[in-house]
Amino acid sequence: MLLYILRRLIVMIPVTILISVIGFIIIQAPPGDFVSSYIAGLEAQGDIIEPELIDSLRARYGLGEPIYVQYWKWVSSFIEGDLGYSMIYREPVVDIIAQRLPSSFTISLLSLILVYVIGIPIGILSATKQYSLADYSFTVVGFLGVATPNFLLALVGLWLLFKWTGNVAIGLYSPEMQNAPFGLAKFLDLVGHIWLPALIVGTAGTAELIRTMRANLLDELPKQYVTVARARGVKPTKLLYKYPLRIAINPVISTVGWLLPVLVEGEVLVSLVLGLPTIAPVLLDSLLQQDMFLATSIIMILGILTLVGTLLSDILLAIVDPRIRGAV
Amino acid sequence: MTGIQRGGTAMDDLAPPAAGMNGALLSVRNLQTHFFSREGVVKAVDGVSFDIKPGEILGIAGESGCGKSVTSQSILRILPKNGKIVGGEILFQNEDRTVDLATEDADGRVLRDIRGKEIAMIFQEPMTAFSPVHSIGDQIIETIRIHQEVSKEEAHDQAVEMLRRVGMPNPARNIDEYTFNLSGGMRQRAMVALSLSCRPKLLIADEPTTAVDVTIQAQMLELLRDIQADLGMAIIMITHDLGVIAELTDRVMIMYLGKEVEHGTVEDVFHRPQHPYTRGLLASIPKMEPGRVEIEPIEGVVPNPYAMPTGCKFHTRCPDFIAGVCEKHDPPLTQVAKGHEVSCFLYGGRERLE
Amino acid sequence: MTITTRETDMNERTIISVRNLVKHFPIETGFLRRQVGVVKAVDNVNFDLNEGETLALVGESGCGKTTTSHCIIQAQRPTAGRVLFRIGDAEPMDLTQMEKGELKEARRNIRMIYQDPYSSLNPRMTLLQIIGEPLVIHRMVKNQDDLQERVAELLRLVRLDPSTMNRYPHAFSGGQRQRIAIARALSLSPKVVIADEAVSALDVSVQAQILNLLKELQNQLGLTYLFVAHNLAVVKYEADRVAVMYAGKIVEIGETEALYSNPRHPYTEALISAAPNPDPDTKHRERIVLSGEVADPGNLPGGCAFHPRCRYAEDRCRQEMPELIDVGGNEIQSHQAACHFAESLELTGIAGPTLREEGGSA
Repeated sequence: MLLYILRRLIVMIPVTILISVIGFIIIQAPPGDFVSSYIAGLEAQGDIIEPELIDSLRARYGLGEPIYVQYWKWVSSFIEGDLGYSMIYREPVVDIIAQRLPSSFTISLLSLILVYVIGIPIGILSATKQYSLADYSFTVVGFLGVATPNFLLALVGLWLLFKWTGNVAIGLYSPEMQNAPFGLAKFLDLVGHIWLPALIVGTAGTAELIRTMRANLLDELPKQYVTVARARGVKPTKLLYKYPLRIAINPVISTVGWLLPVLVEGEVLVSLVLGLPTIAPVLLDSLLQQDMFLATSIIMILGILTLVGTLLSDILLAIVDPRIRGAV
Repeated sequence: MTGIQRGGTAMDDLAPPAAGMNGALLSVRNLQTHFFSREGVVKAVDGVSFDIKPGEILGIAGESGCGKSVTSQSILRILPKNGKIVGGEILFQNEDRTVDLATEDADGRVLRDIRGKEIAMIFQEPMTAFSPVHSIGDQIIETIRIHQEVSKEEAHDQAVEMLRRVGMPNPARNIDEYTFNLSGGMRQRAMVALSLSCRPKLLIADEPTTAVDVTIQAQMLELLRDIQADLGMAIIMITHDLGVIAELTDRVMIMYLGKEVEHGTVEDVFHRPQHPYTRGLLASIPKMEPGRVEIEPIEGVVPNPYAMPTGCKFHTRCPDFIAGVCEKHDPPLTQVAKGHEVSCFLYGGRERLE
Repeated sequence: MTITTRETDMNERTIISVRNLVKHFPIETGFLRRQVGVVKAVDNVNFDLNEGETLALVGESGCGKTTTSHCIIQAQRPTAGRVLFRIGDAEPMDLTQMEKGELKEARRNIRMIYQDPYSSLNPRMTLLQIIGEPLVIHRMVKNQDDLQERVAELLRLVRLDPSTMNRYPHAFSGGQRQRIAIARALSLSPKVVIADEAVSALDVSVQAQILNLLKELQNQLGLTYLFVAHNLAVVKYEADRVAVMYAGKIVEIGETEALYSNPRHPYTEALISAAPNPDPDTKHRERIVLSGEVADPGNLPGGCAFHPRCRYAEDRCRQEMPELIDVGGNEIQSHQAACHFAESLELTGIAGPTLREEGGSA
């Protein structure tokens, strides 16, 4: 098992490098570099840029040098924890990410929990009461959930909120709590605000999970080992939870990792619509304005998160399924 | 016995069932199990009766669609969702009282206590009989602890002992293994250990040797014979393989399309088959005998279960078909010798038609 | 006209000659797919299939019988060895050396029937399409009328009503579907039919119909069968000669009656003894129950692969691999077994041990 994890970690190294190279190249692809667009932006506002600053910036990031040199300089400082400087926010990238990543993370995590807490029981219900009214209703709701884009849901949510409370922006905190130190009161305030975005981000995932769970369980229920367990005198409830559910849930566990990037992706649009201070709008801005360091850093972090998520799923799967444990 | 019980009236139902058991461990009377689907109703088991005494080995044989497996699923009440027992009794002598398994709640206390403890079952596919994500020991110990108040350690010891009895090479280690780690023959043995873990009085074996190679089949039959001699349980052997029936059982019931066509001792049925279907079945099996022995197939095809023939179900393929009788009337069971009964108009029953 | 051509070593009655056939599958492991071993699925198999006969390949799962048949039609390419196929008086061709395109004629003449009549027929095609497809592919029909006529003829051949040709397979029972599969296999008027467990999935009454149909078709059309099966009683009924396989090798081959009443390999003896017979009188006879399981072709025991299960095994069996040697028979039908003690062991066949005759062919 340890060997398995070690092997997986080793495999992750070239994949991470690949992500960084691809991310770097894509962001570098448009003509010009961020210093020129930065200067252009400042000059358009009538600011005068000191040539020394420009030169030092260019020298520091190796701009003008071959792309592999630029890449190397960026990577080596990335590893040291220096993520560079954001031109649009005029702040170190580390600070921006540190401010925004936690909210992103909270929303994603909460969505994930909601997806599982809502999706799994409904999936089980649908499977055990196949072709019942409840099953049909959840099927309809499920398909709607998959088919409706998240941003549309966000707009609807926003409109409903406005109708009821008169507030336009949701935000993550009430205005009076915005700058308060983090404590119990602020946390409760956060909980009060965060459920709506979390729910919206999680809708598609929940709908999908209901379908997956239902299909997996329906596959398992007629299997012979279930009949055999029944023929041994196992109680109906245990018959469901101990055996088929255990197997039906394996693929669900294994997709935890893949859900992570999906949630982040969904969160981008939702956060934009709802105006949430998460990392998503920052990523969009940075890409639009060629804020190289910010964009590459965010992409790198998301990429690594996905890899870690997949690894966690695989380890979890190996723990719950002896067939996989035997094979690793 | 069975002929008299057929078509029992409401009055019979009121009588205490134990009275008619005649020392039988299990008495199935006029069992009717039907399957309901969009295409219609399939009368999978359509009035089947038989008794089995303690320690006896009964064979139920027939081709696919004859209802032999449904009969066994009815006894343990583990029918698929669309299958229902619509008539008849399944009387089981449980300690000193008689239970009608046909009318008990399928997942209620009474049946759950009987399943695995009094009546156990082994299935065709040992690979799928165990949950792939639980060790075989986990499932054997679970069964023991459902039915006996013993500690985990004690149940573990009992499980190891049972694995040893069925000939597992290294029971103490095998108990923690998963089915995918075991070879085909070992899986078979593990499955037998699982079903016998509570020393049931009746073991139902549903095609236990169909999916295995002939040398493993021989091992399995030997194991069943040995363990039956050892533990003394009754066995119902359900199979399409008349060779297995001849090898293992004392009595046999031949079924065709949900009906019993003939039953008796294996010697009677195999050496003096009476029903045209039994004769046809025996004639169509290639024999392991020296010289050229021709085989004669039964002509025609098994009828569509949704459009069952009227009268005798076999009349569409029967070489001895009596026009005007067989397609109109259901043949009654007629005794042709002591303990040898046939449901065919060739042997009587026509006089009662008028 | 010479009886044997030297370079091909084919008897004039032989239609397919399998020479030193080997099929190995690599066992790979780990991230880098390192090869750690080899599954010897078929390991140096030799036999001749004579025109108009039925040769059975019999053995338990994993013995290599199906792989052998796949290697003959080149559905799987053998690792080594030759498969010589001769049509009429033409020069034999080595199928293992031929490119896909060149195999067309051989494939027209060697057809397969599989075990499962439910999955081997496309449910979305009518009988006309299923049976007619090979005819269309090989351009054997001129037009639609010609096709219908030919398919009707084929349906009559397998005793099915030609008026059903526009129906789909689901309307037919298992036995009827196997007839459809046979009609399809026969559509190109092949010389050889390989039946891979063709009756294993059928009920006995229907199985008997198909077995008899195959025999009738053989007489009528002069077909040659390679009959791959595990059921010894079925093989006894259907085959003229039998090759018993164990762990990728032929351990005994000979004329059916001789092999069944006078087996010369302990594995054949055990198989015959283990086969259940529908006769309660044989219930109390002493059966040979082999211990253990079929040898793993990925990890074969040394010497004779059967030795761990053999009740006659001696030291020599653990060290030396036995060759297939002549143990009797006559010029027309040889009887060979791969056992060091084939000549000396007193083995029991279907008629019991007493029937043993020297060099016995019945």
